Parts: sequence; structure tokens; C-alpha cells
Amino acid sequence: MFSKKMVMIAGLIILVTLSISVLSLSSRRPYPAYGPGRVAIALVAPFQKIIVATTRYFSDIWEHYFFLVTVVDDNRTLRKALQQARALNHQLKEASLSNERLRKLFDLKQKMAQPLLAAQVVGKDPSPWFQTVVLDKGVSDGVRKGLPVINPEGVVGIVVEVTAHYAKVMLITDPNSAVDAVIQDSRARGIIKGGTSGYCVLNYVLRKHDVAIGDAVVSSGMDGVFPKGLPIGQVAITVKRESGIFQDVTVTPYVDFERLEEVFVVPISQAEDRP
Amino acid sequence: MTILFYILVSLCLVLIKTTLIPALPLFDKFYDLLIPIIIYLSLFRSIREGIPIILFFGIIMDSLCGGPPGLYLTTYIWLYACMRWLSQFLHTGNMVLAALAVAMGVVFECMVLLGYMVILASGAIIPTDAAKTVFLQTIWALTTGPVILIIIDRAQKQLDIWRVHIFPDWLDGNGK
Repeated sequence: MFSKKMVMIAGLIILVTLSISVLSLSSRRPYPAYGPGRVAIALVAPFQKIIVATTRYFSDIWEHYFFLVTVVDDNRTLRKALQQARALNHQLKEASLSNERLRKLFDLKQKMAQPLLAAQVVGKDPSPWFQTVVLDKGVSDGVRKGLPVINPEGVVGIVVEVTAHYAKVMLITDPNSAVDAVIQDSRARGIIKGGTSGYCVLNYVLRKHDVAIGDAVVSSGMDGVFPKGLPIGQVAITVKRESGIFQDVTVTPYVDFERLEEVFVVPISQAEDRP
Repeated sequence: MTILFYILVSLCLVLIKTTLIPALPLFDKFYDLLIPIIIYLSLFRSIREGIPIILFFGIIMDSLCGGPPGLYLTTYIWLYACMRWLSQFLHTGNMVLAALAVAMGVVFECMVLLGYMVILASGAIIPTDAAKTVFLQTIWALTTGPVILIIIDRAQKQLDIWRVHIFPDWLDGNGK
């Protein structure tokens, strides 16, 4: 009834349609709570932890014993940086005291600072197209899906998958990541998206806002994930095109994702305590 | 035995890719090391051996990568099927063609992943250095792909010799 060629073409069309449908459905819920993925992470992550620990051990030996030549220069630079940091610290202390007074004045609820959960990065994404890392803390340590992850420099990402002892974190540089942010000075709002190598883009910033290179970008707290005011990065490039209601803003993250080793997971009580 | 061998090899490669390679400066855009294995399986081994290994590879990569579930599984299945079909026309013993096959595999994977970002991932941004990444991965695949294929081939042949010694009554992967 049908030729062999026709059957093959029909089969091929069905297979392509099936592939696209399956991917389309799975991309609507990219990180299911259950599935073989968690088993694979649990299987691979302990070995990643061992390899990373061994590599760091040898790299520490190298840096501490064989690479002391650069330490003198580093020491000089660090002393200078320390002096600047002390001056800045003094200013910030003043600002913090003033902020505290204002908060009391407006009867704002004082947040209770809880200890953050420290975790170590034990593995990175095997694909250069996606940006995720595996942490050595999981459900047994209190990590839950959807918790924000930060480090002293700023926002790192969000927990997207958890096993008993490990967690996968999608970095803010991942193409699928989105963080609601504001430019600290102008309070212009936008969405921080990943996707460019080492950079993020701040989408949906209206043309009318003045955005300057070097402006700090912080989390707005409006996305329901990241607490308000966490540093994200600084504006690197701004482009106002001839037409359109938005401007293009490129942001350099404060976090050095190439050298990410230790991070903090923000516990659920703090993550939920949003302004 | 062959399936177990490839599972162990793939786990080692994934561990290297996720722990050691990111720390090396020139290797940050290194290609997916499972592609040469998939191409080797499609060109030289039976479907009975190939399919379970491909499924395992897909599940492992889907769980460790930031993409949606099934992305790598679909990519690997299609890559395996296409290469198996192409093997009817390719002279598989030629190293130049083998290098080309690995490079084609890498480009195919990049196209599928970029296609996913463009068509299915709503709001995802195509990296500005996407072309550079594809180019670098292709160069890496052309230069190192044949070496990996030779290593896999040698290891597979050694494995076949051991298997014949240990289990003389078993059929090999090609049903011989």
C-alpha cells in the first residue's frame, strides 16, 4: 500500500515531532522533583568531591611553597587594598548606623540575621552552554529547591535540584536564569539574564532611565527568591538604540564564576523573609 | 562486560569534564567527551550494545547539565542514529573521516542545544560568544577526536581479547 520510502519519511517526521514535543514539555518544567537525575548526581558528586579536594590540596602546596615569588607583590597590593577597605569600612559603618536609626524611626521590622549555610563547589557543568555547579550540601543539611545561593561578592544562583547530600545550583550566568534587579542609584528595574560568557544582561530597563557605566546592580527582592539589596554586578555597557522603549544594559557580575569555590545557601526562613 | 566498560569510561570522562577541565585555561570551551564514544559505538559496535550505553550517557548528562531533562538524551539518540546511517557511506577506517565524524557530532550537538535555546527555552539568551564556542569545540574535536577514537578502539580490542579468554563461549558485540 505504501512504499518503503514513504514509510521511512513518515517515521522520520513522527520521530522529529516526538523529540520536539518531549523537549517542549520537559522545558516547561525543567527541574522535576523526582527522576533519575538525582540518582546520577548522587553517583557522580562524591567522586567530584574527591577529585576537587585532591586538586585543591596540590594547588595549595604549589601556591604556599613553590609560588612565593609573587607573594611579596601580592602583600604590597593587599596592604594598599586593606587601607582603602578600612576607610570604606568606616564610611559603611557610619551609613549602617544611620540606616539603623532610620529603620527604627519608620518602625520597620528588624530582620534577624541567621547563619548562612556554607557549601563547597564540587563540580561544574559538563556543558559550556549551561552554567550550573554542584554543591556538597543537600537535603540533610537543610538545602531545599529554590533557595538562593550567594557568596561574599554577591548573588551566585538558585538551587534547582537537591539530593540527600548534594545540590545543583543554576548560576545567574545560565541562559535560563532570571533575577529581578534594580540599578542601585537610579532604581531602574530590570531582569538580569545570563547567557553571555562571563557577563549578564539587564533586560527591560526603560530608555528614560539614566544608566552609567560602573553603576551597581542589586537584587530587587521582587522575584520572590533573592532577598532585597544583594549585590549582583556593575554596569559594563549601555546602548540606547534609535528606536524601542528599552535600552541594552550589560552587567559584569561581582562573583568570579571561574574561581567559585565556596558559597552560602540562604536558609528558607531568611529567603522567605522578604520586604 | 562491554556495557559496564563504557559506563565506567563515561563516568571517568564526566568527572574529568566537571572537575579538572574547567580549571584549565585553554579547555574552558572543550567539547563533550562522550561524543567520540557515541560515534565509535555507532560506527563499530552493535545496536544491542550501543542503545543501553547511549541511554545511560543521556541520563547522566541530563542530570548534571543545566538543560531540561531529555535534551542530551534526545541529542545522543539522534546523533547515534544519524552516524549509524552515515556509516553505510563512510569508510570508517579512515582517520580523516573519523576526525570529521567527531567534528560533525560536535556541531550537531551545538546546533541542537542552540536550537533548544532559540525555539523552546522561552526567554533564554543565545550567548554572544556562541559562534566562538562552536568554532573552538570543532577545532578541539578535529584535533583530539581521532586520538580519543584510537584509544577507545585499542581499549575495546583489548577488552574483546580478555572476554574471549574469560568467557570463550560468549558472542562478541557484533554477534560473531
